[in-house]
This record gives sequence, C-alpha cells and structure tokens, in this order.
Amino acid sequence: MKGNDMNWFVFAITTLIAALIQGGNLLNFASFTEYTIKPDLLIILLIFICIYAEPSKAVAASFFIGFAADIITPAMGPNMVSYVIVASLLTTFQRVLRLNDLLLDSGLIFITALITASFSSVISCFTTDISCHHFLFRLFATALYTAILGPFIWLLLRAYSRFLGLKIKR
Amino acid sequence: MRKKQSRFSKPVVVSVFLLIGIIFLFLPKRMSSKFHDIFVYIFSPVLKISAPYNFSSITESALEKDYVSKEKYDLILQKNLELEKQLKQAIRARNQTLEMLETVSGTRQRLPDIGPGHIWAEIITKALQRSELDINRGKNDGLKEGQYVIANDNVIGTIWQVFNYTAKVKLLTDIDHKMIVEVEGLDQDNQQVYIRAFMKGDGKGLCTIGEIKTSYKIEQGNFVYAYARPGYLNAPLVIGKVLQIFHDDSNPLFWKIIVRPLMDINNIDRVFAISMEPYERQ
Repeated sequence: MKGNDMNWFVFAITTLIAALIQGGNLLNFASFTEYTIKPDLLIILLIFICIYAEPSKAVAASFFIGFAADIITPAMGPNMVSYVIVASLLTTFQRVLRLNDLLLDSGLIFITALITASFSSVISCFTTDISCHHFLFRLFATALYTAILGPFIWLLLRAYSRFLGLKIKR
Repeated sequence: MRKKQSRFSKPVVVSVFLLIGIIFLFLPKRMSSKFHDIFVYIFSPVLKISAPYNFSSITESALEKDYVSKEKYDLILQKNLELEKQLKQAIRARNQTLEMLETVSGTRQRLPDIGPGHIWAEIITKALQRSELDINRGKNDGLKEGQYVIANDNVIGTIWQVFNYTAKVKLLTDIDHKMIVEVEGLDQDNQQVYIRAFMKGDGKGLCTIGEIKTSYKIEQGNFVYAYARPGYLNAPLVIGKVLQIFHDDSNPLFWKIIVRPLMDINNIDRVFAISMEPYERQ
C-alpha cells in the first residue's frame, strides 16, 4: 500500500449506503431466525478501512462509521466510542492484519465484531437502561453472520478501493 | 513515491474523536435522539423498503374505511382531552362531597372505582426493526411497565421500559412480546366463546397463538382481543384478526393460529396508555 489519500466523499456515500441498508428493513431479506439476525455491514467496512487506510485517517473514518451506526439507533455515542477504540487497536497492527486469506479474514471479522458489539453494549449499559433479550445469542449470531459474509464484501470493497482512495497491493 | 501522511498524529486523532464520542454519549437523550429522528425523517422512504413482512403490509385495505382523517382525529383528540379535564373536575367534586358525607354520617365509605385514565403520548422514534416505539411520556406522567398502549382503537403493544420522561413501547409483533388474549370461536355446542391463550410476536409483523384445543371452531377473520387484566385493562380490546389457522406440528391436538394485528404503525403519531390508577401530574 502506498500513497493512500482517502476520498472522503466516496467514503461518506459508502458509509451512508451501508447505514441505510443496516438500519432499514432492506436487510430483513437476508435475516434469519426469529431474532432477525442480520450481518453488520458497518463493522465490515470499519475493519476494511482500518486495515488499508493510513492510521490517523482510518481512526477518523471509524468515528464517522460509528456515528452512522449510532444514528440508526435512538442512542448516540456507544458505537462512536467503541469504533474509535477498536480502530486505534486495529490500525496499530494493520500490517499484520493484511492476511489476504478468506478464512483468516473471516476469523478477524468475527473477533472484531464480537469485541466491538460487546464494548458498545457495555457502554450502552452505563448510559441507558436499554436491555436486549437473548443478548449473547444475538451477539454471537450477528458476529458469525458478519464473519461469513465479510470476506465476500471485502472482495467487492477491494475492487472498489481505488474510488475510496485506497491503493491495495494484490 | 513517498507515503502521504496526514497533518495530525494518530494519538491526537484518537483523543479528539474519542472525546467527541464521549460528549455524544452523555448528551441528554432528547437531544441525541434528534439525530436519529432527522435521519429517519430524511431517509424514511429508503428505510421503509422492506421484505414482504413489513408493517405497511399489516393493514388490510378493507379496514381503511375504519380510519378517520387527520383533521377529524385531531378534533376527536381535543374533545377527548376536554372530556378528561371535565372528568377530573367531576372526580374532585365528588371526592369533596364524599368527604363531607363521611364527616356528616361519621361512617367510612369506600371510594368507588373511577375507571381508567388515558395518558396521551407522542411517538418520538419508531425503531421498527426492533418493533419498538419511544414515547414522550414516562414515570413522571404515571406510566408503568405492562400498561397497554392503544392507537386507533386497537391495542398496539405494552409499556416495556419506563424512564423519567420517556418510555419504550414493545409492539405486539416483537419476538419478545407475550400477552394473554381471547380468541373469538365456537365450542362443541356451537356456542360463541372467547378462548383464552398466550399470544407472542413473530418478529416479522405477525403474531402467533398456540395451545388452543382443536375442539374449538376458529375461523379465518375471527377477532382476537387483549384479555382484560385486573389493574391493567377493564374490558377486552381488539388486537387483530385470525389470518391463518392450522394444526400445530408439534402437537396435533392444538391449533396454531397466525394473527394479523390491526395496527398500522406507519400512520400513527400519537398513542395512549391505559392507566387504571388515576394520576395527578406533578
């Protein structure tokens, strides 16, 4: 990777599209079980940006992805904070995390989705009284679904990366 | 080619955005929920694009004749508020008379039940994918968990969580929502009966009822009512209609009933909760 200069306009559009799909009813087509488990598209985008963008820009981008994740729910803040913290960790190890292997990428997405969602939920507990039934099941199922779908969405994002201003070595 | 670096170092960027995130986190809910409201307001046409199980599909076109225009609805609402005010004054006058009677007769009398009160609330946000509504009334207005919430003469859900100034309403169709209902049907002697059962949401815009014996005759289109629970509801109220009825795979002796709620959540701005205890706003 060299000469990364993020195209913030394309990034904003991409994040908005992901938030609209995530927050709307559109993804219900792909939901399963009676708990309407859906993949977390914003987490997939977050990890991708954190791995391939310049660290400080990736952290800034993670804040806006977190903002998008928060704005689709009535409570603002938990995702912004957790996404920034997770992004700062991911960008520290970004060279190691460029795995380019579907299975390993999937594992990385699974672990990151688990950590981020757990962290957001813990922060939410301190500021709101929001509780979620079958929380652990939903957490694991969402992370697993995200991990299964994530590497394939990354393939699309890699193809699309030059529009985002990310230059990825293939 | 030299790598292009941003002007700010990573620790600075992390600190700044973390601080902004924390500020958002501790913003009053009324302020922070505005962002969500604006987002939903702008992008609602896109957000509403959905699977066949969306809320807009719940309303039967045949039932649309039962609804009134916004002007008429507002007029009825205003009349209702005036009547509530008059009722409160009448109750206060009656209580004073009773106190005088007690004093004169020297006997103690039990106050009769004065009936339910309606707590009107406006919907702040509709989290339809979680089948929840946020309303602008809370503990300080007399709301309690478990109270029935009504819109357009139909029960649409129950109060799930109560905060000081707001509350969360869990809709009937939510997977976690369970309630006792009565289903209209016929017994073995062809007498009309109301069969009591548990109803739960399926998370996709409909509700299911199980464990009703197949000896009862229930037909598609029969009404389903919220069961009158002491302290919560003093008369059954309509919830929905039987959409489908078939033998339960796990136990063929019971019916499995799919219920279509009558609520049309997309066209509701106001709801009211039923409070059986009279409450004076502080």
